[in-house]
Amino acid sequence: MMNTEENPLTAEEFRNLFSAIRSEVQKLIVGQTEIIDGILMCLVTSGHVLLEGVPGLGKTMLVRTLASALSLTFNRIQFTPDLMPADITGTNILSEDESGVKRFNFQPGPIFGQLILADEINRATPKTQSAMLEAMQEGSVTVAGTTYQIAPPFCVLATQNPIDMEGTYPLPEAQLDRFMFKLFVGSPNLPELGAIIGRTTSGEFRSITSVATEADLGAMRKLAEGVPIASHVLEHASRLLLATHPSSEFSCASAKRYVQFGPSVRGGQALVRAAKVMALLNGRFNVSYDDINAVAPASLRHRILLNFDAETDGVGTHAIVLEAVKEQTQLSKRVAI
Amino acid sequence: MAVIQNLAPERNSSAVLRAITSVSQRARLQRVVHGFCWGALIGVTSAILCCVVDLSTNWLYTRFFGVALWMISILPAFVAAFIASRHVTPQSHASRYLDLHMHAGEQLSSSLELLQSGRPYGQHTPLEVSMLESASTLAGEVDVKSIYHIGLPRWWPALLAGVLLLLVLYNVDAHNLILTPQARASLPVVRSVGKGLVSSANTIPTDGVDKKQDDADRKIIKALGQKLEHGKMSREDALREIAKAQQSLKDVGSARNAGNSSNNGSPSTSESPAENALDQARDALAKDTSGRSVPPAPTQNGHETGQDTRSANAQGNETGARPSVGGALHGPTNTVNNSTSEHSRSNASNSPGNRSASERGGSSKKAGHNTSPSGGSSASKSSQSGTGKDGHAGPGNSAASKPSAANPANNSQSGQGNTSNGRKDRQGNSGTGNTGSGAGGTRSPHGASQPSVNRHTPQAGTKSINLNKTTDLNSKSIRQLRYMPAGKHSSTAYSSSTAGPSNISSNHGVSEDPSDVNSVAPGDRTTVEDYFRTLNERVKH
Repeated sequence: MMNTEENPLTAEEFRNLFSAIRSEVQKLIVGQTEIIDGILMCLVTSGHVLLEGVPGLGKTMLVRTLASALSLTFNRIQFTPDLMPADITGTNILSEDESGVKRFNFQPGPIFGQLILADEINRATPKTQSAMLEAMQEGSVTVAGTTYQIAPPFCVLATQNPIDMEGTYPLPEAQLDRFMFKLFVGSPNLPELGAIIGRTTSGEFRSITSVATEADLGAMRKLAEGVPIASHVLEHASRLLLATHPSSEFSCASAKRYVQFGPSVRGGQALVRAAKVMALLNGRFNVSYDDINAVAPASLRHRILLNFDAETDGVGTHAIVLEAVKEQTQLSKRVAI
Repeated sequence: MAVIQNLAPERNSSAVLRAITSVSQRARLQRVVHGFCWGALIGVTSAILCCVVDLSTNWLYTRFFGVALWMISILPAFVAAFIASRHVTPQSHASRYLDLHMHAGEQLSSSLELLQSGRPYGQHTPLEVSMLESASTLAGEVDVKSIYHIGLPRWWPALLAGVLLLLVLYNVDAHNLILTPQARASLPVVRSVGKGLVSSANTIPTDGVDKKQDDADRKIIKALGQKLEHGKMSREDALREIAKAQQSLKDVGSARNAGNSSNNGSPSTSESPAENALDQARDALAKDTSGRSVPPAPTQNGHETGQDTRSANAQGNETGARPSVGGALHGPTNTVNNSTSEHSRSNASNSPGNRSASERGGSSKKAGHNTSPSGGSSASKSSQSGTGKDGHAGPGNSAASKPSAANPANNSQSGQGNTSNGRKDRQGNSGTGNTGSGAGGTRSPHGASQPSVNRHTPQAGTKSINLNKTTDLNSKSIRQLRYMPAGKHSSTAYSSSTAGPSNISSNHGVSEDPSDVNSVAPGDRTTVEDYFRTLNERVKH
């Protein structure tokens, strides 16, 4: 097979590796398969994840376990209203060396890691939140005029609490747009709940072993980027994106009525990247409509800004995306032959 | 091993392309089938409409029936199929169709796009190679026939039903199952006459005739023959067509005469075989196998033959009229049909008995030409006495309006037998029989036939009719004169059978068919004027 030296990972190995990571994480995390897959997909595609859920659902444990399974460095930042940007990015500290010379040395902040857990990110001020922008988009931090690169893989997993919103600062659109996925962490069902309670109260200790390395993650990322996508599938993704805009020729009815601003181009990029991973996970070597549709809600719903009518009618962005997906899929599969 | 590895990409790509191409071809075939069916549906629907219209109006028969009907049905189908066959399904569409029906997750379309990108196979990434291999495997499993089923449209039973309906309608129409009684009765005769005309046109002798002239005559005769043969028309319509053809021949003859005059100084006087053929056709139409006569043939050129008689039957049915002919019919059983038919002026049943010489003399045109009343310029209308509007038939309605030396026996005056309305009015000025519609008996010229005018050979002693005057008097005016109530206008006696005026109402080819606008015979204007003059003189006296 060609290009074996450049990319030793095959599609089957990709799937196996992915499954191995998932299985390792699920040693501690009961259920939440979609959340795990979503986080892994974001890891493979160098994306960031916004996890939204009530407290006590194991979000922090999930991220920690994932870092252990992947042998990645893990940093946690607890966002509070008094958190300052320098607390995240790091700052220059005056220090004296052995020869007695004083100089400023850059002390990296917690952002310099591979897996960053930004816990309750909406509790920090916008000033602090915006400190994450450059790091999430560029993978670098600029302090005092000096730019410091963050070693890949770099993935921010932010959590926010949908309740108890008093004293919080909702993430601005620019900040939300940096997240590849927004995943809703739901409550476990009855069997899962029983398993969680039983496992955590029995004193049983389960150790997490590393099943993949940083290099494996890089190989997976490279393989996913090379998944071919046909032009008509790409067109479908673009139409799907435009369908969630309020003033597009492809707009669905809900988007026209309830959407104030649609997703940006980043939404389309996230859509296709995630669809490529999804194609590999589904055992295909190319992206299909189904792959696009499968990742569309997680990729687009947090990029849509609703208007007042949507709030009064209780319409969410998830429903709008689903309507657009349904409509555009019918159009795309209507083959004129 | 290396050879196999080199062949593998080609095998993969060819398998994918083969599957996609087969779907594309089947899509094209399907489109052709559907195009044909749609075209057939449109054509059959149009043909059915034509049939229905034709059945109700008989208007389209000569235009759309026969081969043309089938062309209406079939031609759109083939045109639509041809147009459909010109459209080739793009391979991209075919591949997407395959993906959709194979649930292949856009494998084939992605592979096709990769193959069409033009990138060498060696530059493909492992994923792309894997994709091509997977697509090739999938393409090998494609059963194109099951995936793309070529079928007829769902409405094709309706199309078949339409074809059956068309066949039924066509047979109904072709076998004249829905025809007016007149047309049905006369159809065989008209068709046979048409065939005869066609054969006559093919056998017109060309000796001594100008080639161009011969061709023109032949063309006219042949066209008329074909029209009669294919058209379903009543006898009257056929006679009208013959009259038109005669007019055409006359025009041609006039041109020929003009040419001869300019060349030779004298007009040609020969009678063309085409005219004879038309006369024979008219004769044949005037009789049918049942021995019934038909209304007189309208004529425009004054060729009023002996058959063009005003015989009638007691029922007043012009088609049921007995063939009478020529001279006046005498007999006590001559009843008058005073029906509303415009032909009723001449409708009088004829009893066997006194038949004019014209009946025996046949109906040849020559007889008509040659048997003009020797003593007069026109033939009288004999036996025009009748019941008039009252419908009273008088015995022996057979008054010859003018005694003729040729056949004095037939020239019985109405005073002898005319009991129309109980009044004898030899003058015919105010008799009820003067209404025209009440005219009874046979108005036929004395002798063999009415005096007809030979437009080529005007004879001395015969009333020569100026053909150019045919349009001087509108036939409608004549009809008004004919049918005016008695007493209102003295000119109503123009067509009555009573004596006196009848001598001015010579039937110089006046068509007895009032519907024939062009049937005014030349010389009618003269006769009407003469009649008025005579009438005024008598009033004075």
